[in-house]
Amino acid sequence: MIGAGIMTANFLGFGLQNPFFALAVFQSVVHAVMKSGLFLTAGVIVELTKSRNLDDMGGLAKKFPSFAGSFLLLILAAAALPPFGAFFGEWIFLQNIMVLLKSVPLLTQGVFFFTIPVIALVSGLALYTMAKLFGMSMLGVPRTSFLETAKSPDRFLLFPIGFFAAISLLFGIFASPVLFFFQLGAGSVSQPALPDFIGKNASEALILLEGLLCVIFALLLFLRGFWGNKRERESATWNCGHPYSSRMEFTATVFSAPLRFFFKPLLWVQKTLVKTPIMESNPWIAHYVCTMTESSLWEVCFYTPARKFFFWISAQVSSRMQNGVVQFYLSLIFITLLVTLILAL
Amino acid sequence: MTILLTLFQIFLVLLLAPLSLGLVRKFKAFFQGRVGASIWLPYVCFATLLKKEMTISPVISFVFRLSPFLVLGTTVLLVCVLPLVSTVTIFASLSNFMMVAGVLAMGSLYLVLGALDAGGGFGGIGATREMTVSALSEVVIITVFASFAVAGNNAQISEMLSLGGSAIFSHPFLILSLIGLTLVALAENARYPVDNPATHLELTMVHEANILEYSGPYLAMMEYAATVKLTIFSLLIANFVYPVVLVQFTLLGALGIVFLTIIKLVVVMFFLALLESLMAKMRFYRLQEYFSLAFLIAVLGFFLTILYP
Repeated sequence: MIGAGIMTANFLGFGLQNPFFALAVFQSVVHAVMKSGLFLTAGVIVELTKSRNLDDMGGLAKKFPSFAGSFLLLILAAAALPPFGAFFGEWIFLQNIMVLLKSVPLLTQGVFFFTIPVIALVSGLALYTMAKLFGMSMLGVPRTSFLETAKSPDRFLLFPIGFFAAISLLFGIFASPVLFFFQLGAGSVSQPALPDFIGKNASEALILLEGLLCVIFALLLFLRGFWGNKRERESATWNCGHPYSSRMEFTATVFSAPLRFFFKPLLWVQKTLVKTPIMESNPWIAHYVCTMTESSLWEVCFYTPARKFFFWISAQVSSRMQNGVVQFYLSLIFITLLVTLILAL
Repeated sequence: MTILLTLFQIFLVLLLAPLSLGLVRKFKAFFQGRVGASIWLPYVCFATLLKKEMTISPVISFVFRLSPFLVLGTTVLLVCVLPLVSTVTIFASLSNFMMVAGVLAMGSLYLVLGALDAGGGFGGIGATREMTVSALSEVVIITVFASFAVAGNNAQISEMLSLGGSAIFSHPFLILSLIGLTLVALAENARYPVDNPATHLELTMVHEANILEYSGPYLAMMEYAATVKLTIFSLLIANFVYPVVLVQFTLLGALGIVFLTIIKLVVVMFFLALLESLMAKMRFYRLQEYFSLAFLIAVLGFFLTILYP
């Protein structure tokens, strides 16, 4: 968003009137709130399950529904679904790009052209990841025996999670007033010179959409009260005739297998399968150990060389600068202050 | 008047949804040389499911029970906001394509969470496959509608219909976007070549695996939501090809649009059945080719939209 702001600074300005800078600030605040909640949730889950491995978790939603409810809200916010603040930020960002697409210089046009599908793909992948995170940690049955000893989390731990979940929701519902509070305002989002592509009532539309969903949801619950059989019978999860156990559940590693396969050219997955026969008479009965390593095109071709280069530069500079002369350090501080003052003025 | 049009659209689409399922099954039976079941059978099936007792796994949490309501709720929400029968409903201003994509993603997420909650292996298979399809569809949906939005300078789907029909020849590259939309509609509705809606074989199923643990009224809600979603996509594509919709409520106009909507559904379901009879289901791990094709077509349409003066 900041990049888009810099690229459009020529005609939209470099200040807060530029909608991209405004949205960058808004998204930063929204993400700060939502991720604070997610980090706190992760802490509580680790405390309950005594593990950091998703493949050891599960079944928390049944025992701690209010905790799971707060976590679900944070998951929806992190997946940038309506009406949460992250959705609002992405929505307005993409629409601003579309508004400007035909009027910006060629280079900016090219960057904007790729930005739309890339943001859409990242949103889709975020949804996938959040489904995995919530599904593996909260749903199904526990994969280890941690729930037998797990005690309900302290309310002082749960309250901040609920608070951040509620704030994430409020950031979406009151997105326009929040932008206005940052002195950015809905007016800066929809420039008068640009076509009325977004509408100044984007936030109101989002509230109406979610209100409509709540009405439909309430109506369906009401109708369910009149229609349909209410009788229920307990029956184990479908188990193909074998006694049900948590080993039949999907693991987090398997959950992401299709995406690992689909993005294989980028991820550079290496898989080794070691087979140790158990019976000499039957080679099919064997113990298999699968080891998988992943690297990425980005990491190998860009990140690692860039990191090595900057570390080398840093080593060269620091060996010359850290010479133990106090006067030199003081003059560096003075120059830094001077440059900061010049930039600020 | 707009309230009347909104209620009319909701009522008509929800009423005709099971018929569309009956039609596609009938046409498929015809192509296979069978008589096939009555087109009214889905209505009977839903009524029967509503009367059935539910079997519920003891391991489920509140998510499992909420999921059918939220999945059906998001689908009905799409019926309210999208221009399926009329473009001047009171919720037409909510048909912004980004919001529609968000609601679609929300429906998929609730379906997946419901599937995972019962802790079965099949639910896991369905969940991971559904999320893959949903994640890769989202990028195509947004790119397709971004093309229409840039071409028509409006992000509301109800306004985009003005680019449909014969008007599409003034922006011929939007035909590519329509093809992209059709490909993603097949994936979103769990139809061939992405999913086989008639199977319960664990190696192939996507949608059915997600709802395997549901029974009785909950299953009816899940199945009905899928049927309504199929009707939504069918009418949306039909409206882009032949954008005749109701703009003012009159008795004669309403009767005419009921007739026209049924005709649109019959035509779309005929072509869907023909397509499903001509091609085999793709192996799941070959779907990257399908989605890459859909994405490239959508991106090409978008690229040409930007180039067009």
